[in-house]
Amino acid sequence: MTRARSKLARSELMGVLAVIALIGLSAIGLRLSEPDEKFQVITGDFGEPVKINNGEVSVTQVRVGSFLREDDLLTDRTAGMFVAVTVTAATTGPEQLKLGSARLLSGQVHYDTYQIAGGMNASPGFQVSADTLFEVDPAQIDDLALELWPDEVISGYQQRVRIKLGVTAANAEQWRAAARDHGIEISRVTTRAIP
Amino acid sequence: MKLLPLPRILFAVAALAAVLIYLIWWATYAAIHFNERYTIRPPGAAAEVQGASIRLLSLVRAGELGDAKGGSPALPEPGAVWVVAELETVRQDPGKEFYCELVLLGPQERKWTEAVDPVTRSAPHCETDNPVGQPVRFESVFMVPARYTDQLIGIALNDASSAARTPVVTPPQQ
Repeated sequence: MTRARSKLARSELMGVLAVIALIGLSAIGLRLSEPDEKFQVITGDFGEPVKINNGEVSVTQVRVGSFLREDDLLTDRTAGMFVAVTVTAATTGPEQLKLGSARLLSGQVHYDTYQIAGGMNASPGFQVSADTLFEVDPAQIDDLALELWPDEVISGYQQRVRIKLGVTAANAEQWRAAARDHGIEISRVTTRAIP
Repeated sequence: MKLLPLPRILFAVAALAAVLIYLIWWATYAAIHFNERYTIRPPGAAAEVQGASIRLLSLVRAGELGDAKGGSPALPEPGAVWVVAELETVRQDPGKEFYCELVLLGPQERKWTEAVDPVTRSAPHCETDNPVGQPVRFESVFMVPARYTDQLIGIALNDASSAARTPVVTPPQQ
């Protein structure tokens, strides 16, 4: 009787250990599919190319406004502020550069993309320029930085580009004033070979 | 506390070892096949893919692409050129189809996919349902940075259903 009880206890112990092992494996799998949790941030400044895997990224223009125009037609208006960031992605390496996700950061505040005018996908030897558009709270734009990263279903250790846009606490009021009653013309995606 | 019997410990160790061997094999296989691998065919030689024999007849560069309907020629993006590939296929197995996934292969395995109909061309596109046993010619157009046009290797015939190396057909020697 004691032996049978001891055998039962051991099998229960093995079961508990197996459950713990499976939970551990699931946790590892979940961690691998959550890119927000771990990534390498590569920082840069407005106008300067930032090197990432397989290419370079730069912010070449920042425009602000309170409404959007496309082919001289008003397409959208905001009570806040639109920020259009022109990004150039150049594929200097052999693999295609794909930057499908972006957000704007201001301290602890994150703004998701309002619109990406076409994908930031560049074939080898080409560079693509496109506007990435955000709708932001004009009161929270200090130290604005653009963060870009590739779309991945399962991601390990990801690289993200974070480029400061030149909006600081000192000049934020000038940006707010520039946005008032001002329209942004969304530019088309342009492609060219890297010079 | 009573120790576990040796056979049971050995069984657990063997099971763990089997799982580890499987994971190592899987990781190695995935690492090998994650990146495309290529087999470069001799100049002008055909490659067999999905029951079809395909060869590259010519690979020429062009500053503009003529429109078969008489419209304006298509210009490449600044700093780039068109590369026009003329290929010939003979479908041998009616039970199989090659899905026309053609990629231009350049230096250090740089790859360019086909340009999406820049203009109407007189030559036909690649088709999946060609008649069996008859040679069919078709054309594929790519846009490539001018700096790489002297380093192009050939056309890779991608077949996603196969884990084998991707054949690359190369143009005949002049």
